[in-house]
Amino acid sequence: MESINNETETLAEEIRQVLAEQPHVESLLNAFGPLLLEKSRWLAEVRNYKKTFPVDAIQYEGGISLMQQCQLFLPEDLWKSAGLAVAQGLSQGFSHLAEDIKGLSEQIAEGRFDCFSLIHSTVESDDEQLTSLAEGLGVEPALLQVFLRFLARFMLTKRAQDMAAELAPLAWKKGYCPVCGSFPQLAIIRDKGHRWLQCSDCSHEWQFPRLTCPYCDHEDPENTNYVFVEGKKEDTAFICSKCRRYLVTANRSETLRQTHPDVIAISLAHLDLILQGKGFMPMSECEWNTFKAGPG
Amino acid sequence: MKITRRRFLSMSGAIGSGIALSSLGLDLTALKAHAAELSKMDRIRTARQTTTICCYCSVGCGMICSTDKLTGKIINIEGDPDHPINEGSLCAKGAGIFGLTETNQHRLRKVLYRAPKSDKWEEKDWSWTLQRIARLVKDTRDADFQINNDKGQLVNRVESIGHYGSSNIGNEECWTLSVACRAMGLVYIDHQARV
Repeated sequence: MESINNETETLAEEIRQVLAEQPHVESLLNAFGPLLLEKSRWLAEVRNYKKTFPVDAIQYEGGISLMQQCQLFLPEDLWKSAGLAVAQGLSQGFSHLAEDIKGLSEQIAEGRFDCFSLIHSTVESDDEQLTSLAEGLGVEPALLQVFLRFLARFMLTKRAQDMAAELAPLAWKKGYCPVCGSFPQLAIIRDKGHRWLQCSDCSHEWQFPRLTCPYCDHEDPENTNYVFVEGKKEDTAFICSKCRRYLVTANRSETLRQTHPDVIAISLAHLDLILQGKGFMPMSECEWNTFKAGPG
Repeated sequence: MKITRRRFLSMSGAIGSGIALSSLGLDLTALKAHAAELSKMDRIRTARQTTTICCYCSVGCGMICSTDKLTGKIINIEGDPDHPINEGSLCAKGAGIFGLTETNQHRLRKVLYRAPKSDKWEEKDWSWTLQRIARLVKDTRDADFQINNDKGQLVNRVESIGHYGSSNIGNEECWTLSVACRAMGLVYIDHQARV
């Protein structure tokens, strides 16, 4: 891979390490690993393009996320390079769809496929509209879905990184993301046991009380438990019996090893599978934790 | 068109959620086998987390206590990061509090007595033990009790017995012990939490 940066190299090493330790997530990591690497590479590439937004501190601290306060997707954003990076990651991770992705990539490169307009045109589209759009582009609907999701993810992550310094001094007490309003896909327990929630869309992280459900704010210990694998207490899942949602959680308070949150979330896919089998739903559905079709 | 959270979520509804992994053509056999094995071997456990206060000293640090729902036994105790007093930190005694639970195999469960000049520990029952302690305290106190000091002032004290309190007891037990010690005339009374 050209112009690979240190962060991407570190991420690649983390993926290799998890693959060696947990071979059962090989298919997921092989599929989504290249997308994660492409995201890391793209974020390094566009580091100098920065866009910040004014934040209304009173609204923000009252629980109104940045997404609700201002427009986070702008036409002048680097959509083309993001689209090409997503297509590159997809072609490596989903080699059986290589032909479709190649066509998509060519259309983006030639300017026939405007990623920004596509994101906008699909904002309120239903499954049928999406299917006909995919047919028009000559790709599988599922592939277009993943493409658009990752495109939004790339852009939102960039936005969250640019806004991190502005948001740091402000208080945020909600279970949904202060940047994009999505629910977390993962929690990491570190420092002195603090729980950091990881946004499923923009990868922003924020602190949240350990014993409160981020999805419904329920905090009765009778209804909020955690599930763990015997002998492996660092990998757990917080479950709330009231809203029937769960949040995979990695306890990293006793280790210095740092792993990318998305890689950790993928490595806990067995817990997703088990809990969805018990009738619980993830707080946020993302590409690697959806084992049953249909919205949650 | 401005993308609001509501619009973004509706976008997610149409193109984001419900992308089942199977529809992406991924082979999940190994993952499913791993999950099935864990479930089959009953290795998936559920724990309840409750907050509590450290029993040691008056600082009152918050703790999170995890209890295995299957066995009803405590499996972990850690500092509560959301507690305003300690914010997740614990002192050496608090951090070792899990050692007080029955999970600790090294914890003494019976009285062990080593006689003077003996190199062996003997198991004793509580009746024998309490009588032995009472006897020694009484004999020492009777032998060394001072009514007046060198200046002839009334002191009513015993300087040959000291009491070293435990951090594992509550305020009420502490008060009772303190009163008992002072009633016997002890002046060297200390508490582990202070040392």
